[in-house]
Amino acid sequence: MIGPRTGHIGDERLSAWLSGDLPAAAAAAVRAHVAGCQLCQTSAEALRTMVDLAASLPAPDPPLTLWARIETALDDRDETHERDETRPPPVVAPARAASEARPASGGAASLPLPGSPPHHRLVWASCSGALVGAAAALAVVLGGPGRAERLHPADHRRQAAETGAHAIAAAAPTPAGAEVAEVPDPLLAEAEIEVNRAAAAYERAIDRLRSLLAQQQDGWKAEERARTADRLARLDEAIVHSRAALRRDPGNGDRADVLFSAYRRKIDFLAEAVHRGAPASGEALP
Amino acid sequence: MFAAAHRPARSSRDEVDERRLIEDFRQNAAGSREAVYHAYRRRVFALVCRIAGPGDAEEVSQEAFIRIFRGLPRFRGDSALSTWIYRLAVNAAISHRARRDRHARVQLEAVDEDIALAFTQAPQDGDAVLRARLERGLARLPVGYRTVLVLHDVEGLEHEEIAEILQCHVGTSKSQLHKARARLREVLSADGITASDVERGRSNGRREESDREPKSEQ
Repeated sequence: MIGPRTGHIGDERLSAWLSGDLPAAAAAAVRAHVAGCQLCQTSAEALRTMVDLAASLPAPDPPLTLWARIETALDDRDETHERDETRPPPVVAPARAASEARPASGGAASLPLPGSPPHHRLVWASCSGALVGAAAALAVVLGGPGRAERLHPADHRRQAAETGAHAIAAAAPTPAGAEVAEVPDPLLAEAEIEVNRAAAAYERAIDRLRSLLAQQQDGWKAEERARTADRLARLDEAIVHSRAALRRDPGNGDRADVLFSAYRRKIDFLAEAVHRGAPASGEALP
Repeated sequence: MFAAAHRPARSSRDEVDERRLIEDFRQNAAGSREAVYHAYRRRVFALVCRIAGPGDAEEVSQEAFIRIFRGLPRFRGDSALSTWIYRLAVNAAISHRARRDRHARVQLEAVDEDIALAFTQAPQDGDAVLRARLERGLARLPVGYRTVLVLHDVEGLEHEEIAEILQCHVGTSKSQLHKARARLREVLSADGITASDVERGRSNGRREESDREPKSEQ
């Protein structure tokens, strides 16, 4: 059915059409529309290209240590009684041990209290959902599709996890931090601590990306450097504004989303620039 | 309608004789466990990586293989071995995420590890930038959409098999896929990717493949 609002065909229906999942009459109607509609042709082509690209994504090699871990865990289990299969295996991973050894910082936000106001839950939800997903995505972005290269040996990763864990412990703001000075509500204080932690993680990623980029920028023309600086300034402005907005209404999940989205845009821009080795200025690709 | 050219045929990805693997395993032949591992490690890891995230992928893959080895003695062959393995891997990844998401507190140690993983050699070809953006887009999908899309469009499985893996109807798998693709396109557009970007990059990739010339402006 053609969308009543726009007069065009939505992506979901186009996708079904492209895959041959529409009944004959509906497929004919879509085909007829697409034949005469530039916008829908473009959408169909974009979908097609996107799916083809997905089909070309490589399968990364698992770390070399994975088999050893599995074997060890199996041998341990064979020696004990039958376990419930839904429970996680005994911890073998040093990475996890490192993070469990991390001292809990004072005033650390715990699970939301039952009956906590909805907007606090929203902040936590946006912190945990958006941030972890986005950071994982960042990892894949910069890791790129090179298989063996992308995956460090377990030692390196363990080290990175430990470094990260200690950095968090060191960087965690105290509960009496300046931003919470005027807020009497302890739940709001906790929400703000969570946001600060998430922001700190983004800031760390940004710092690392900036130093990678700085190394590459030596070979750039002055004009390219200026363009990049200008773009970064605008991205920073967005971060500052959204941070201020969140401060005015701490615990507001939508505003937290806006802030994290601004961070992600900056990371995306830096990641693209590092990836290409040149500013992502919108110039046509060769 | 979709160019099947790039999609790796399932059978050619790993030449696996499932019956032989199961036989050897049941007879406790030397190295049979490792043989099973090597036959499926890439598929399991790739799936887990995209569903549970690269930071947790090793741990979740370990969990998946433990379930596989514990279950293999009782495997009756009601489905193909690979289908059964995919199902265990998907379940391990999704339940891991569910356990993690139940904690309201941001799992920053996982985040940092992911970020640390990121700093490796940057890829050289232009198409890689688009692939990277696609991976990022995938990671931003809700996990249900992401799972179906990865199984169908990335791994190349048919809906019948996906329905077995996810224990749903074939019709559900299809409709979830189309919703997922629509959402992915939305996510990619929000990232500033337009159809022309994708087209440009795609024809770029094609040109590179045929000309084998290094990109001059990078």
